[in-house]
Amino acid sequence: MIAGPGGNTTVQVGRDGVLVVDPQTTAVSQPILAEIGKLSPAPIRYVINTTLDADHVGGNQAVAGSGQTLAGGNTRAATVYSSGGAPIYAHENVLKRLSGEGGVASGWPTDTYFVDQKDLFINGEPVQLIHAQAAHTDGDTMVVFRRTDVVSAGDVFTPDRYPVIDLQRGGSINGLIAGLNQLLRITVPEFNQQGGTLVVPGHGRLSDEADVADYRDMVTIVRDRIQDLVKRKMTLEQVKAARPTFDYDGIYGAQKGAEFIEQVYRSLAR
Amino acid sequence: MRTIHSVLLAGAVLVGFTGPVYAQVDLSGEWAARQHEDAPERGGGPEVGEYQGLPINDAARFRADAWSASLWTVPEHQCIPHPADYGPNFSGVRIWKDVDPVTQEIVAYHTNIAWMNPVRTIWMDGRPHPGPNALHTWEGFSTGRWEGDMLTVETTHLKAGYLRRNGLPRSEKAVLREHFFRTGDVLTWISIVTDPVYLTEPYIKSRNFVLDPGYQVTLYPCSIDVEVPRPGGEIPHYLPGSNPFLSDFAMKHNLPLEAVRGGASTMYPEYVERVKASAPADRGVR
Repeated sequence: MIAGPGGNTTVQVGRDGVLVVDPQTTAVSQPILAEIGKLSPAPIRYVINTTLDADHVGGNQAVAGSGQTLAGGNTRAATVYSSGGAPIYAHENVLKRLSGEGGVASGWPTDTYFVDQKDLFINGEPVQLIHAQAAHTDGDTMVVFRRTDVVSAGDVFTPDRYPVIDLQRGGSINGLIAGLNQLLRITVPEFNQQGGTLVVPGHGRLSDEADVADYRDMVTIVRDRIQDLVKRKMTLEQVKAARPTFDYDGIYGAQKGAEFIEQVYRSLAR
Repeated sequence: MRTIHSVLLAGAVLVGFTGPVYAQVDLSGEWAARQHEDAPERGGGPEVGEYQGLPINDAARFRADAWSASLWTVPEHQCIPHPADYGPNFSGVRIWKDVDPVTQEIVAYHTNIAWMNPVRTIWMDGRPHPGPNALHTWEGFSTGRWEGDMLTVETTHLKAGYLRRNGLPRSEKAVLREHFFRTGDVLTWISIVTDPVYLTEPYIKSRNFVLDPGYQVTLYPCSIDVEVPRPGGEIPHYLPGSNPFLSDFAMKHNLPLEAVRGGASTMYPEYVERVKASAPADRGVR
């Protein structure tokens, strides 16, 4: 895990080359490449985006462009040296939104999937791309490294802050909670809820199942509180005044708590 | 002049040899807990809404009021070991050390308690604490140093835990400072928790242990089993104002409700006079 100002990058290295999950922003592409170079001299073979925000996809062009796709024989020159770069995998909704109105001009995913799960095999281990539907956005992917027992959770799990539910891009509070529970079904603690599967969050520190559970509890409890206030016909301002995140604001920040309340309220109102 | 120099030199030599003299101390061994202190809290456990004597803030109180004991039935909660700051409340403890055979320096102490068998490491080799993005664990990252005969330990990188087993939270931003000192066959273990999220003052407690070479830490292989069917994703908790049990403890012991709601003032002796002047609880907390 490489922690940077744009969040966390996961790097898998091995005999086939380098796989990079979330190359962060354009501004930190060169430092990210420098850090990857310290881990392995092998070429970057795959880039995977867990979501579509600029702090996850901004470095796509530079990082993928520095890599090489896997190819051999008489087609190698054409694939590696002409089209250049490593393929960029993401859920198809990432491509739709990045290439649509308000999107970006470059760095789009080159390979997308639309099913619940897409499987790859690289560096001697299965790598699974699992779609978390309508969570942070509608294009979230959790990347599971089955042999090394690591999950890149993207912005479905951000233990240093309240979640961001991007309602304009298909996110929802209930989808986010479903995504966190989906993540908990993947993780396995080693012994008595200690250690085991490591989780690389979109933002925040390295975690394990117990950390995800603690975060899932918080999100669920806040959702339940706001849902109860909505059922009592309270307006958004009244809900904010009731301070349903009061006991968690010291951990995740009061200002972001107000934004989270509004996102949950609007998501439940849909 | 020579005489004055000789006197100064003799004085310097004496000072050089008159620093504090410490006995050699070793904390290794099997230690049996003595639960004479805070016995109800450590044995049967605290009751719901029992917050007295703790320097908690409003956020901690709010969160604990929402806590339901049914949370322990949720799979991810069933096999949680006690965090480093709570573990000394329970059972005996085994303490052992790693010694560098070349230098005879102690590299680390380890502790192991019976409840869920968490093994804790206290690094004695001067290594720094890891950065903020490192994994947080139930036992945290601990470094120790001798202060005379007393071992002082600083622990960071703790997972979010609890001050009491009734939902009173302790955040992962907390720092734990401990002092271990041995008096003959008695080990005194003092824990000081500082938590900027849920405490207004440090929370200090002491625990005593007696050397017990026959004590064996038993294996605790916890099995996660779903025994309470509930809708997927449901997390047991009380909505604000809906916990019906918060005043039970005060009523049972004929105490003013204000006293059992906790806060720093309830820690100090002068609070006894305030309790005497208050009416006992007769109605629920809303």
